[in-house]
Amino acid sequence: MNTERFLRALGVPAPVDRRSLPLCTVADRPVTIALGWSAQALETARYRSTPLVVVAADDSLPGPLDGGDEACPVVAVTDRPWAIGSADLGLLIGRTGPADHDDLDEIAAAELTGRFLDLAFDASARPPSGGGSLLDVVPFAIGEPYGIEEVLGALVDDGGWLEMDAGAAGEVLTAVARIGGRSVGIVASRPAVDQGRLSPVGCTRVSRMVTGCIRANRPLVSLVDTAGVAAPADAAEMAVMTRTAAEVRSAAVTKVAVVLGRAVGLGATVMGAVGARADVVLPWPRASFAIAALPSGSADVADAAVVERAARDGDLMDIIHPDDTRARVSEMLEILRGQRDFGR
Amino acid sequence: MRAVGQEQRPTTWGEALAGLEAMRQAGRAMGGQSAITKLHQRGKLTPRERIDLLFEPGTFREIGELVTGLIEVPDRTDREAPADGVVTGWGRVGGRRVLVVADDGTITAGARGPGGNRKVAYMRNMSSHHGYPLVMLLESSANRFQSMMGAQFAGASGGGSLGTSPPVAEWQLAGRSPIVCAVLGTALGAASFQTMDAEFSTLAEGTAAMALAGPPVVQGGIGVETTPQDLGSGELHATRTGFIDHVGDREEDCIGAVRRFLGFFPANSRELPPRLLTGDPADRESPELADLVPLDHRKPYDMGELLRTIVDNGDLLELRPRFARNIITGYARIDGWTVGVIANQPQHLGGIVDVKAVVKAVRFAQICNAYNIPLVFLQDQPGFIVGPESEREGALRQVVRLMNTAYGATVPMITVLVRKAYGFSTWLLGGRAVGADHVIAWPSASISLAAPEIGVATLLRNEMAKGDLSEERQLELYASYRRMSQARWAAYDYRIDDVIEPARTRRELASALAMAEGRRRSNLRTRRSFDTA
Repeated sequence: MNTERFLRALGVPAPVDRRSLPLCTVADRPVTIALGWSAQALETARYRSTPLVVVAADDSLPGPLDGGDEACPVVAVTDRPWAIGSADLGLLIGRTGPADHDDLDEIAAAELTGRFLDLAFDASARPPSGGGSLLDVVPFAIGEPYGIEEVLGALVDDGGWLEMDAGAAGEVLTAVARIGGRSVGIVASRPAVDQGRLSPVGCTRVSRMVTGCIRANRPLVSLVDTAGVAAPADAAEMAVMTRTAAEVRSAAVTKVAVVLGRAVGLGATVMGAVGARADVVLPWPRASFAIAALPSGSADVADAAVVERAARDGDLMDIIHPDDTRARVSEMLEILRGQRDFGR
Repeated sequence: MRAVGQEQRPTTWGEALAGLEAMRQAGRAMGGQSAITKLHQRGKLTPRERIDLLFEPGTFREIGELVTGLIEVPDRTDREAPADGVVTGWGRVGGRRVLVVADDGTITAGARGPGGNRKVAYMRNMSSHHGYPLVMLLESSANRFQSMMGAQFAGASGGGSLGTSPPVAEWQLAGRSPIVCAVLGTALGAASFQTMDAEFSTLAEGTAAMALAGPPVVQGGIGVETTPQDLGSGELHATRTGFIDHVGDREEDCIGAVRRFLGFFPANSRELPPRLLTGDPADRESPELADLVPLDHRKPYDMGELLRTIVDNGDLLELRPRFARNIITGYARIDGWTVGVIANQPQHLGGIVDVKAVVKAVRFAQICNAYNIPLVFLQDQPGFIVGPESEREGALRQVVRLMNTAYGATVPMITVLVRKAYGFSTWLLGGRAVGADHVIAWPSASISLAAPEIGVATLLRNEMAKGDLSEERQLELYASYRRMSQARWAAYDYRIDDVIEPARTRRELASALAMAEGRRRSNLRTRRSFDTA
């Protein structure tokens, strides 16, 4: 990737002096640009209270990056993403993987940077375009595939979402978006891929999202429909899964979980639905909770797992209509916002 | 235990949503029409009617509507308890979000089971963690007896599900987010503890009572036949114990008082109270004050009327008005800023500061201090009450409590010396000594260690005993001390800020409050608690 072309696409007037750390406007917001990483760059961006875009193209090494924070998210654009190794980074764009987005030309990379820096901050609420009921999108019967993208489209503000770790495991989608004007991190099961069972790579993807949310003090919204975790091949894989579950549980950010379908076992914890200290769990009527995937045809056990029972006993505070999901999640995000100022 | 797998699992969205709606309707039906009628006949309202009175129309969002308890009594058929006997959720009062817990008197007298406890824990945790006021509309609020029989009582406080943390205790909440308790039934045990620790409490006269233990326990314990009203009526708490801030004739009055209280208060201790400009000009002068207050210090007047003349639109929410009537405590606004007013009432015991008055003032000052509400003092008092009776009541302990509270207060304090400002209490009720921001006096004010009569009697004790002091000389001395006590002498060497015309009191207070803005903000940084009662 060519630094100059990227900067030109971003709208930065060339030439850029390596030491000057110029300010430019990206997504209607002042942004500090650094050619190559330095501690001073982050310090300056923090002082200016702006995001920081670190460009380390042309085979230069970016060095270990700090992930920034709420007021100062960091975007890194590099040819060698593996040399960075920061899970708490705002967004990582690389020429070759593994990054949030790979194989982009300079113009696409600049566009992506702008989109991220837009979605990373709160704005006024914009309802999603397009109507239609989610009842027509998601079949009631458990196990039948549906497109989580359509559910997401009805949930997030107009303008959609920006996927993170785009090339990684398909059973889970992670993204940054806005709901009711609030910048949020999204973790969503893709039940069409192995019934949403989380692989170790899928868990890593969740972990990366959670870490980023903690850095940015960004609420985590999860859409849960998972049959659990994929059986781990060895202790190392198992460790990745359990560690991710612990990370989700201990993450001190606002956590809202919508349970669309199954919330099974360790997968349900990784997805923030069970035993994850979520601030609120909003189940759909088709939701079911179980410690392990159920053998098909065992009706009694399946009934014990259904959501009405949990709602009757007061383990869940409500069951929501799928078409109310956006309204209910926005309301909770607004209510739980107090946490940010008030402390947990 | 509820049987599992009896109902057919729905197979389509239509069936599932219809089932859900049926569950909601069962929850909203409460204990059934006959139970509701019975409640109404006793002059009481259902929780949903109470919630309608509390919140602005259409703002109530119910949480835990689907929770259903099971009432199990040996040898009787099990019955369902809709919403498990308690309605919870949130809505808006004055446009601001407020949480509610409303016991259902149509179901086992407002007792709840484990599901109901989880709902209450959720609301309490939400209040504590997220900084919203919580209104508790209390009936018995007890645990359903049968569901607490046996060793499960050990963990009976309920497992919260806002996260999975257990509910926070009263003392952890005190001074964090305001808890408002309206006692609308018989509050015993836990419900009475909550009320004692509440930032504001109200009780419905006649239909509600509050006590540590109820008639059956009293009967069993000391063999005395009683009723809940004997043990803790509104009258008792309004006049004798002073535990309840407001006693209303009807439930509507109680809920109205809750709404008024919330209007003065911030949502939590990290916020400033909302400023509400109501069109009453800050520089409004009140020439009638000069006629209201007699210059003769022995003649009484109504301090309540004085206060209502000064504050915005005459709106003063007086707390515990029938307890320790010699001191007035209450919330009001001046130029839109919420203030806590503490004032002596010369109409009652000459406005003297006695043990009950200190108890009332200390509690109030601590709550104001915890919630960043500036204190405005109006003094007209002859000092602390003295004598064997008040010593036996433990006057010393209460005086020192007032001292510690006053010295520890970090909110702005503004003081008006109206007439008598005598004794150590003149320091403690917003004097310069405790760090008041602004102390002003009316020309009618006298400031001294003691009233002239007491000063002469103390200093010339021997002469008076021997009859060496003529009446003429005594009067001369009194007059001389009275001249020395005039507020202008304190103003001359800046021991107080100013002597003002009474008519200008409101504008002086408004400008002092505006000046104290910085102090109000710096107060937000720390959390302060308060003690009970």
